[in-house]
Amino acid sequence: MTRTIEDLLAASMREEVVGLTPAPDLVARAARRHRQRTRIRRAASVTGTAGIAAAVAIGLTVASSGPGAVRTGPGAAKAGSQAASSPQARLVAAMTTSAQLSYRLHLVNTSILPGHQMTPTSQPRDLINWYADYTGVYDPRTRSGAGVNIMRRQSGTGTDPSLYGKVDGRIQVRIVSGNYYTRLGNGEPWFTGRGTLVQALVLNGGRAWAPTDRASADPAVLLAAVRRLGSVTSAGKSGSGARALDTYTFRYNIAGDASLKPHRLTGTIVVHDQSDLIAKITMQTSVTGASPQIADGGPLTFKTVMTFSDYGVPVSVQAPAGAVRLPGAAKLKG
Amino acid sequence: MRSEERFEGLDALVADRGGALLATATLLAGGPAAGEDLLQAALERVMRHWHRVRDEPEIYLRRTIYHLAVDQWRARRRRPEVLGKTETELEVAALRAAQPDGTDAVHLRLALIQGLAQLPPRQRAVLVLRYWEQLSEAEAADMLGCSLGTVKSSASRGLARLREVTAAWAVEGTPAKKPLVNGVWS
Repeated sequence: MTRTIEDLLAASMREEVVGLTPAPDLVARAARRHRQRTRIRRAASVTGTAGIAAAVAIGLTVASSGPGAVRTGPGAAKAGSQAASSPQARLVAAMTTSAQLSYRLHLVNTSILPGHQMTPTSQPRDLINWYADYTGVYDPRTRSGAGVNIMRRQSGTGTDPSLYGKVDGRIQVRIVSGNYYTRLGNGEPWFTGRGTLVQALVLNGGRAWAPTDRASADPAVLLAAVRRLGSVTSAGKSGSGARALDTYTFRYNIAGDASLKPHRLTGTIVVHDQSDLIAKITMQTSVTGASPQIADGGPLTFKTVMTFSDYGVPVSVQAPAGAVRLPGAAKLKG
Repeated sequence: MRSEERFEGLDALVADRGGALLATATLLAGGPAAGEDLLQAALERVMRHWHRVRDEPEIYLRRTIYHLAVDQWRARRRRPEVLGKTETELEVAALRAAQPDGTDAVHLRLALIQGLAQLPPRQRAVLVLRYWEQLSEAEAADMLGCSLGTVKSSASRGLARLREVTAAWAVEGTPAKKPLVNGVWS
């Protein structure tokens, strides 16, 4: 029997691919990617932000090839594939899309200082648990928003309010073009400073708490920090249909300085599977003072939970007149 | 589901013809995973132009798979997966190929498929069109949007390369124990 190489090649091809079937969700995956790209193109067109598509494209490239690249899904164990749909790439697209829309924001920040000790020789103070609950709207495109922040000291005894400012308060908050304005209530004076919404909510006498460094209610700003400093992994999908959610975890290291030791910020980002809009961002860190002169008895733990809803909600905010300027701490947005 | 409503018929097409389309994409991309990526990319392209192609989505889909394989996939300069076989498996297969036994046919197939995956994208596409799809040279040229001469030369070079990469194996391990003569094993 004589067989040409053409015959052998044809037979080899047939044998090699016998039984192959595509993943059941292949069309759905393609449709999701198609919608994602369409939304980004429209957002870029509407806002005139010509760089968005390019930025996303760069993000896709970087995310798919970086050292932190993680693979999930049917092609997870298959080398060199699914680059365009890596967790980083999907997250970049989701956060970029979300940053082009206004939204309602519910932010809860919890600060825990167990066994707080101001100096090595002072008596340890009891646990202090601060709690800030902000509800408002925000538009990252104009860096403007408004809401009400309820600050409470949830527990603890022996604290000196003069060290921490008001113990409890219902604080009105506005953000206009990157400047924040706060006041304790109607009739009270407005105070203003340069900073992010997150920083405005957890200010320490005008200076942002270190853990809020790079923490932002603007997904694009947080994304920039994650992409530059951290890594992202996929934590899987939950729910189904319109309620399906994709969860990602991220982490990045924050360098120490004169007052704080280096620490790590970790968090999760939950994205609506169908709309690719962010549903929730949670981040936490634990810091310890670097100077023995102001050594704390234990690490200071922060946790911030941001819940996003009502994308596209109208946001119209004006800067209040006569605000008293406070020292600003940040140049970040959001 | 929204995708099913908007791209009516696409789910049915993939359910009916998905296996064959994935097989083509797998041979073109160099492995099942890369093949599925290629097929998904082609589906996204079809969705983007759905209003123009919805009457004949399969034709457009197949053409897109080939064009992406030749153009976009080449631009990525990605190393083929060698069709799902690990390097260790291939090394073992190569060693066994030098020791004729009852699995010679398997070894030859591996060598051919590995050789195919390592061809330049256009040569690979031409060989897939000619010997997997069984298209004529003219039909292959039409599918790739190139000249008949390009198809002929690509096929010739591709087959020549496959003869080279399987020559050593063929000499030592062909079932008939006869050397390769003018592209024909006996």
